[in-house]
Amino acid sequence: MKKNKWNNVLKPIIFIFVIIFIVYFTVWVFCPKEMAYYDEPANEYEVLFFGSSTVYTSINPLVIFEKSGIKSYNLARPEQSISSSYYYMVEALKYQKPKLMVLDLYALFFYGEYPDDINPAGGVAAASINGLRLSDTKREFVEKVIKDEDTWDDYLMPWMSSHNNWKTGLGEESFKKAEEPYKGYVPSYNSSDCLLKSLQNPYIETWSAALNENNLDYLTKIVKLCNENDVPLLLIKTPQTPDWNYSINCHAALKNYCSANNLFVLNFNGDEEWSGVTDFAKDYSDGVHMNVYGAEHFSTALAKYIVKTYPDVTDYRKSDTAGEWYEKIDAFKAEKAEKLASASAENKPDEGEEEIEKPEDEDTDKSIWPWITSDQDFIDWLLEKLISHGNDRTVNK
Amino acid sequence: MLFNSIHFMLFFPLVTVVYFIIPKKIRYIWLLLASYYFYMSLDPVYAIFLFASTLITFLCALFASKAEKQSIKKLMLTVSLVLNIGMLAVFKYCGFAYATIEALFNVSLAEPSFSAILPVGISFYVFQSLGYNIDVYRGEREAEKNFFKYALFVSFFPLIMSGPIERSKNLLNQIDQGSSFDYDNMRKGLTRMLWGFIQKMIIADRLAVIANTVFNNYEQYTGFSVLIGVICYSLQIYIDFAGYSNIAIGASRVLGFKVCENFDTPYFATSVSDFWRRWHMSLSSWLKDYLYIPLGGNRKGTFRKYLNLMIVFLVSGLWHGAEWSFVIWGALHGLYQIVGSLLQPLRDKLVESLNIDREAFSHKLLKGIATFLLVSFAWIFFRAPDTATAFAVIKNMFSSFNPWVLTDYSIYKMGLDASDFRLMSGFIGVNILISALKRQYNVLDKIMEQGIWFRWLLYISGVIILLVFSLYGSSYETASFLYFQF
Repeated sequence: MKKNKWNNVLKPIIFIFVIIFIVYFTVWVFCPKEMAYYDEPANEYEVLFFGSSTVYTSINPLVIFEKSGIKSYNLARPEQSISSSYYYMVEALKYQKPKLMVLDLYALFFYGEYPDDINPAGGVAAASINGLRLSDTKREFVEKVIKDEDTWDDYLMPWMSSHNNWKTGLGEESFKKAEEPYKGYVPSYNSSDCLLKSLQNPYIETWSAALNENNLDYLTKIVKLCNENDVPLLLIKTPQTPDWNYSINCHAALKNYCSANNLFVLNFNGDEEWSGVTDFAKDYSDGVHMNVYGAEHFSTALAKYIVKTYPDVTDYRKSDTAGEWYEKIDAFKAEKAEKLASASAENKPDEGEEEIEKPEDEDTDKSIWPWITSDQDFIDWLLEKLISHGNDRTVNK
Repeated sequence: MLFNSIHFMLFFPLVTVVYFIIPKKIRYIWLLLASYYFYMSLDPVYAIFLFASTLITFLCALFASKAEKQSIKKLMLTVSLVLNIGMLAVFKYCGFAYATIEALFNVSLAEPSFSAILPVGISFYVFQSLGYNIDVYRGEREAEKNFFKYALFVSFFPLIMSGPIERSKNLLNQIDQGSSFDYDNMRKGLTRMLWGFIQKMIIADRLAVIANTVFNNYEQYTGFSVLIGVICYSLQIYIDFAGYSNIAIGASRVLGFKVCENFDTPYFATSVSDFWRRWHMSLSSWLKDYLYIPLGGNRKGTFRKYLNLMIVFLVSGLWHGAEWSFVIWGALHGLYQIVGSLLQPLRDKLVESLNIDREAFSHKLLKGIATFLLVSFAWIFFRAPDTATAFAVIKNMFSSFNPWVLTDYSIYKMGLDASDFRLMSGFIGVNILISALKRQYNVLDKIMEQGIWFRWLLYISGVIILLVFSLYGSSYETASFLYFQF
């Protein structure tokens, strides 16, 4: 009798638990991980950043803390559309009570909700969606943003496509939780002389200045969301060389739209006050993405601006929790030193990549935008830069 | 409902748990309701035909068993045969008959609209219930008096879609007696289902990609490329149907019913007649018992034997589908066996003069390969949508000699990438290994003899393999089992 009980009842129950556990673990290993933001303590952060890669490469919350004591988190994602930023804000507000949300408007001139790639397994939409927890927000996000209805299930049940990951292999990251050691900031250690590149081979892939209705709708929703939650919203546009994406016309359209709708945009392009924040010769890995130096300069300037403009934010540098932040700051500095050492060993100056050297502070003239209002101005600017900039460099033809 | 659906994954455990909780006396009612729900989830209209066939065969058997005169018994059987085969004819063969008449007399006829409805599984349950009628007529069993038990016999959900075609002497008797929970049946049944799912979703669905690529775009393929497609289809139809049968037999076993086997390693057959003793056994034994033997079998001389053989295989062809290509497929199998039988003296002489040992493995292997190739060739007619396509495929296969397609990696460009192809080949290897073991041992029993760590490891890895390596997701349409169309 005893043996029967073991065979017929206990063993199957134990077996079911074992198999559920192993299936759960397998699914977890294969599927994209939830973003590290969920592991952060509730109501910890006072400033949250949203936007695309131009935000997560240029705003370093650790630098912001070091300079101002503000606790902030960067929730930008690759090519995060305005609609994605909106759903990220909704999701972020479930866990934090920020005193300020900052949104970069790089994506305002994206052609659709997402530029093109809607592959559920990879792709930029997946990069935004996959890290979110399954919730009504995520469901609405997928249904509103992804046009191809057939793939909705793949976004909401990532297993449906990620079980195929056996083909590409499962690396170390598959067996770990998602990590964001720098609070969402992603450092870039590449350095490129964007001035020189713009001179030699201008990128000149500028976007149409036509404002997309869908993007504007979501911008309106974001403004409304912030009002409802009583969180101030700061709109910014990170600096970039004039030959990259945002055309002169885009900037003009942005300016017109914002003034018509009574929105303030802190545009780091074209405003004399901000023209010297970063150096296009040293602080960038390409015309829009900053490297680790650029992020340091830009984050410092942004921290100063936030402290000045939003007096509600708190300086936690002397609080009990500051120790954790300083530990992270030290870890970041250690990694930075190591990465820069190996980068300078690898990079050869004659390959067009500039050896990274810490730029001297307060260079004389780093501003470029105030003079540029037309394409002819841009060419003039390039020529001018060529003369003033190129004494010690040769332009390879 | 498909076996390979989320719907079934919820349905089956629920049905099983409730089945064993409720009192034994009413279990068959629960199973009957579940079976009708299962069948109607595809299209509720189909249930009308199922019910009609059940009622007709039930009543005819009942009247026949009560009648004392042989003539009434015969009349009852005839009524049942006419009505059931009539139903099959109307729904399955009407379109075919119209098309044939149109082609023969070069006229255009308005086809009746009902010919487009083909109730799934109709060929299977009509044969199953007719078998019961004939058994009662022959006095081999009593007529079932409980209509609901009989209705369960006809509609039993694991078998309703594609068999195995059960005999009343086996399944109906088990339903009469009812089944109790049995731990051993449960684990053996589940293990068998797991293997069936692996066969279907990991091997057969991948083979299907290559077979479909070749057959759907046969104009683009010649020589060995076509041969690859044909062999993949040969393997697909076996592994797909064997996988289905394993799930059906396993699911029945979980519920405590032992239903008949459908396959016995058919591609290890050493002759075409041997193949038919191993392939879709529930159908071939049905045809043997209820058609071949009543026709006289091999007792009325050589000519009648060959004629009977031809009739059986033509019927088998037509049973599979209302299309001339199926008739040709059946005829080929009939011919293979007749020619084989006619050449028997010549082959005997050859074996004798070359001093070949018939029991040697090499000889059996040679015969096995020849049988596989003959069967595969016939499958072309089975797979092609019509006769013209089948001939075009064959023509393309012999139109060029391009062995390099086997070595220049163009195999990986036939719909499956290299990793999928290698995975599939590995699992085909596993399938062959299990088939070989099956000839020596009862593999399920052998597994159950092993220590707990081995069994659990086997079950768990089976589940994980199924989850990870099956083809599903938005990029892949769930493929139904091949035999659902018959």
